[in-house]
Amino acid sequence: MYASAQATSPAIAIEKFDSNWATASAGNYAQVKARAGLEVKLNQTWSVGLEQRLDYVLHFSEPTAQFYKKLENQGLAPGDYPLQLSVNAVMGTSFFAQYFIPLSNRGSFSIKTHVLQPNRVQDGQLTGVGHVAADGSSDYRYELDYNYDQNQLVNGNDYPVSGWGHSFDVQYKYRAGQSWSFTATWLDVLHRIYWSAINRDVGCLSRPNQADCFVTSKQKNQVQKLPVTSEVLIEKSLEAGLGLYLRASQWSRHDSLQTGVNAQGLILGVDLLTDAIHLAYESDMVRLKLASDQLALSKSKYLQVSLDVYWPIL
Amino acid sequence: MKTLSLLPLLLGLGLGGCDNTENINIGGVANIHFSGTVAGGNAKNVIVQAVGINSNGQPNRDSNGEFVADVFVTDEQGHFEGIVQGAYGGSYLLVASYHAAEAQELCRIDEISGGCRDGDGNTFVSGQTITVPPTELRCALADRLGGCKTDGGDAVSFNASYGVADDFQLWGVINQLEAGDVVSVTPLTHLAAKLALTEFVSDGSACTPSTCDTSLFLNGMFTSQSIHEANSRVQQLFSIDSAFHVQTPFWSPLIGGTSSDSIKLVEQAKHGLLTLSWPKFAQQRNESLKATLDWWQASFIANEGQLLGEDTREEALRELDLKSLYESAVAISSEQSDDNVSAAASVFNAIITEPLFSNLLNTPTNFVGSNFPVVEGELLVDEKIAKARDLVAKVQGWVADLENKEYASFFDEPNSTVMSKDFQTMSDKWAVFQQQLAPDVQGLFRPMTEFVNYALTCVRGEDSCDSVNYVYSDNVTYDVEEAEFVLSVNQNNDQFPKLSMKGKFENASTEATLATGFTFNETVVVETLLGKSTLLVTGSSAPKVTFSLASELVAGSNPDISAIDLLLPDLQVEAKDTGDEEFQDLIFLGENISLTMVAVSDALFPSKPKHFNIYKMEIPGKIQYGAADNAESMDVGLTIISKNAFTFYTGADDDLFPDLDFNLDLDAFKQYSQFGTVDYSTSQLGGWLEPSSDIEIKKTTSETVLYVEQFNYDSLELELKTILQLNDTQFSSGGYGALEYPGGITAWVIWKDTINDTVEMARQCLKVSGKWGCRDPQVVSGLGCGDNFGETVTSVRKVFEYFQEEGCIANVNIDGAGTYEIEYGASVITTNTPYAITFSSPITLGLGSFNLRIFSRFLDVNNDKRPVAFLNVLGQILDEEDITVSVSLTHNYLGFGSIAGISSADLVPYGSQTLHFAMEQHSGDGSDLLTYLILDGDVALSMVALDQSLENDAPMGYIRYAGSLVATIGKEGSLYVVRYVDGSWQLL
Repeated sequence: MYASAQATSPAIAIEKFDSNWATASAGNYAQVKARAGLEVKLNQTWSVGLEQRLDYVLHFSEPTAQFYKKLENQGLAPGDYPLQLSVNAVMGTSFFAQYFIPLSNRGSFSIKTHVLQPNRVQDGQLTGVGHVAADGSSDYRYELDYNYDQNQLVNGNDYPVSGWGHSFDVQYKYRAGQSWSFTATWLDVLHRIYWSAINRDVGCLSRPNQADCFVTSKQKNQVQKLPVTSEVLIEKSLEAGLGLYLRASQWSRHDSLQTGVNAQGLILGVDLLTDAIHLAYESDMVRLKLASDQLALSKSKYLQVSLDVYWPIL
Repeated sequence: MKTLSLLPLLLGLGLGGCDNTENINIGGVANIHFSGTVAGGNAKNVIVQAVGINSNGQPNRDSNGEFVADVFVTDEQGHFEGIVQGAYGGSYLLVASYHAAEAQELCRIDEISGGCRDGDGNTFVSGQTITVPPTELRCALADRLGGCKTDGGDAVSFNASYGVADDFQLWGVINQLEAGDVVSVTPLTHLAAKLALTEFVSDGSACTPSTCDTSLFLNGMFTSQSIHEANSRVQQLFSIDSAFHVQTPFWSPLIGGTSSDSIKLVEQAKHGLLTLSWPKFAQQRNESLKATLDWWQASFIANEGQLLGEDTREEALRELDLKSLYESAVAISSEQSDDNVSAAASVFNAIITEPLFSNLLNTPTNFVGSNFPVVEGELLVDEKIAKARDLVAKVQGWVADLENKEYASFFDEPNSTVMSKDFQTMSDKWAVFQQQLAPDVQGLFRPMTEFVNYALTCVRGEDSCDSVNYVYSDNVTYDVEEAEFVLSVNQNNDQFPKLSMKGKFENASTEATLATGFTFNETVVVETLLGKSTLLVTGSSAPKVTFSLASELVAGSNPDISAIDLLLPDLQVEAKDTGDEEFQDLIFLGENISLTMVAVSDALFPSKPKHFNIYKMEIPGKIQYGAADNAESMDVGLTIISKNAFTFYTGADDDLFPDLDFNLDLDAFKQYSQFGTVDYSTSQLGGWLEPSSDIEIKKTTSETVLYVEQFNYDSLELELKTILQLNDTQFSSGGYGALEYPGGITAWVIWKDTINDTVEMARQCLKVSGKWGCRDPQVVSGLGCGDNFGETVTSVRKVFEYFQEEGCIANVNIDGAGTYEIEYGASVITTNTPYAITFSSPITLGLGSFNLRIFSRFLDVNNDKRPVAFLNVLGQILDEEDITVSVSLTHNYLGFGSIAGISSADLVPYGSQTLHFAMEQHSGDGSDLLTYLILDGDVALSMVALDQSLENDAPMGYIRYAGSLVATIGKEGSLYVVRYVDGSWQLL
């Protein structure tokens, strides 16, 4: 059984994401990934399982964040602010099957195939321009192409959506000598959702209203693509149960470069790019990890929590 | 006042005549007789209604949600005769109600119009009840096809009768009914009607059967376009060429054809074969007719008004598809020998056998209905929607610009600024005028009343002038010969204020009132450092102050004034200029200004002098700059009637007359217009809506309430006896009981008219401000404030004990202070026991009604009149929680523009463009209400919001173009969304 969540939001503390962004700083994305599931290892080669998944990828330009901050709090410098924002999020259930292939006594390859049944979606983008006048007043106009199960612009009703999807997790491991190991992982490869019926709003919104700026709502079919997460891990075993590691990962706009030590299952590391501290414990039965860039977790802009429990029932 | 805020809404509704199809013969237009048939195999005793669709796109319903329309009952051939009023020119929803049990329906059609008929042809007239037996169907399916099945699953042979187990309705919808029309109500018309209603949902829902049924909610909407498009789409989908299904009779093996035209007969056969497929599917699916109808509807609506060509999924998931429907029709036709039926079936067969039909495998059809035809010159729906969007964009611009005092967008033609320049100039001059005079308004008017008040003390008797309390007593001379008082202050020096007044008293008493009037007979001038007011005296009019007296003037006693009336026929007010000119360019001219003040005593401190409150005020006038024919001006009229003028007492001892400083912060109303609350803390309201300045002292008082009784009639006060007109004998069987409190008495008198009466009478009498008044008599048994007392004979003590127990007299209003709760305690009320009182709420001076009207009278360079702008504020503010206000601004006003009184002709702000906003806020259980009406040429936007409507699904507002409904306005989440009937939307 496992559960993990990773949230990264350089522009604003995760806890304040739903606020008026008065404290927003530099940053152009907010991303969240969460998984919780049950995996059953059938034999050395196959395992199957069921998983609840959330992927949330929000990208925006810094002027957009600043303009939003102004809309909520006033006090922005006069001028034009190009607006750009995209959201790519889906929540659903997956049934997966993993196939493990030992390539040699040094290497292995595994591929996990997910068949997805999504039930919540936010997928869209807006581009436009906001303007702040010398007297502090503001106006904006932006083009919108937005697919959803619940329209967050107007806090509308939930509408049923239907579709299916797939994604693949691929991993390659190689052990060089007694002390070095190398692992390359690609998660959510070809992560696609094929919506047969999704609500779509296309058009433009402006303030003040303009006669030629309006949105049209339809139900359509749509293909949603989500980004891949790539990761490379290099480990070096030392004596007395100690080890060093270097992990580089890239998930859409989020990059991470961690390094740390492993002392008999207790892992302490630091992310050189996000300044997050990683603390983990691994054993045969349990793997627990907590990472944050702030001691006060409520102020974190990077937060990762995961818990895996291995329970030999077969 | 509340009805006034509804009047403009009535303008915003479509002007196409009355919405209610029930009213007979409005204005002499003949009723429309029509007829029709309902599906179900000669369905007898089906109740049919032609329900008018109102200007909000809703079928008329009563408060219980039931359709409001006359009822017609089908005969044994499923046929009905209908009638609707000729004055109604809108769309109709035809509702055929099939019912399992007997129904009682009220006939509302009078005899002259033909009355009502039941299924057996019996006639009824208006007011009579029709007993309608359960619906009776006849099986029209051949036995070889399996015949029919009851809702319970029992087989029914061809031509046999059967009933329904579940009540259901079949609908049809039509844009117009004309005399002689023949209509049909079948499952196909039902699909069209449901589509017309569900295609646009005002909260943006995409309706599927599992998510909403807009026939239940108010947020579905019929429009002429949606009705026409749905009917024409269904017409194409089900292969009828000549007319909509609702206008096409349907063939049945149980009745003959209705035309000799073979083409029409084929069309009727097409309609009939598909209609007969309904009971056939019910039989095959082994379910009720209602369930099958619901399945047809769900399949159709789920595909947004289309059908799958062929649905190959497993049985449990399968929808109604076109192929199975046509195959059913073909199968039905195979049992008939009618050539027209065969021709109809062959059309269906050709469709489902053509090669291209395979493209519709598990795929919906793609039919599009046609647009509602428009008369030449009328805009199409898309064009009307574009106009509506224009208005939405404009309105935001208007409101924002007006807030920033930019007038061009509302008042000027494109590329013009002439009106806005005139407004700007006037606004600038008025701001300077106000800035100069606002601190000194009282200083310009108070000297006049103080002078006259002083003169009044002099006429009490010889050497009786109250010089102590009048600072200019030394400047007053009395001309004995003329009996005139003359005041002259600082006329020959450079000091201020400069006062010049002259006038005399005359008896102004009437039979009912003791009064004396002071008339000024020379121009009155009051000049201060900041301004000058001049009251002109002409041959026909002069300023006058009339004192109503409670008692004769007596030397040595203060005049007992009960009211003061001021009449100022011709007033000029000027502000001093800080530049080279002595006075500013702007002048205020008042014509026939009248002001009534009433005197109030402080009941808790009776030794204090009486203070005066403004009871009524009317200020018609003009703000003007420039000279003579070139003068630019605005007519201004202000009318105020106060509430509680007779009971509110301002606190300050030296403040006998009202404070006239008035500055209303309009931002307070702006908050409410955006569904906030009204906040007066930033306004100065001239004494209105504020408790008296010594209210903190009055919150704690040692005064008490005393219960007294009197059983000797002669001991009652003379004034009370004069009202009661009783004698000792009558009084002896009852008595007098009263609660005495500072400033007043609440009493009940009980008596019998004759000694032998078994029923006692009671009468409530109140003494306020020294005067008695009594309400009408009533029987003692009816006393009470909820449940009745019940006793026919009693004593005053028992009556007061009952009132105490029921809480009927739980508090008292003390003049000049407020409402106090009586602390009776646990014991029963007894005589001469003082009961303490605790403060509950203060009396404040409310605005019982007020009206501000401003008309612009600008001139162009040729001295021709510019379009008139009209600002009207009308309402009442009883206290901080009870407020009703409407504000309207109109450009190019078309009315008379009167500033005198409250003119009914000026209540409706009609012009080229109008912004109208009205709000009601109440304490207690009353609902708060907000109303907007915005007119721009042909486009109208109306919105009504109640407290409840902010939480439910009903739209708050509508936008119409020339009467056609084009958009709704609703609240979704925290935002206000305008949804247009073409599916587009904007945020408001």
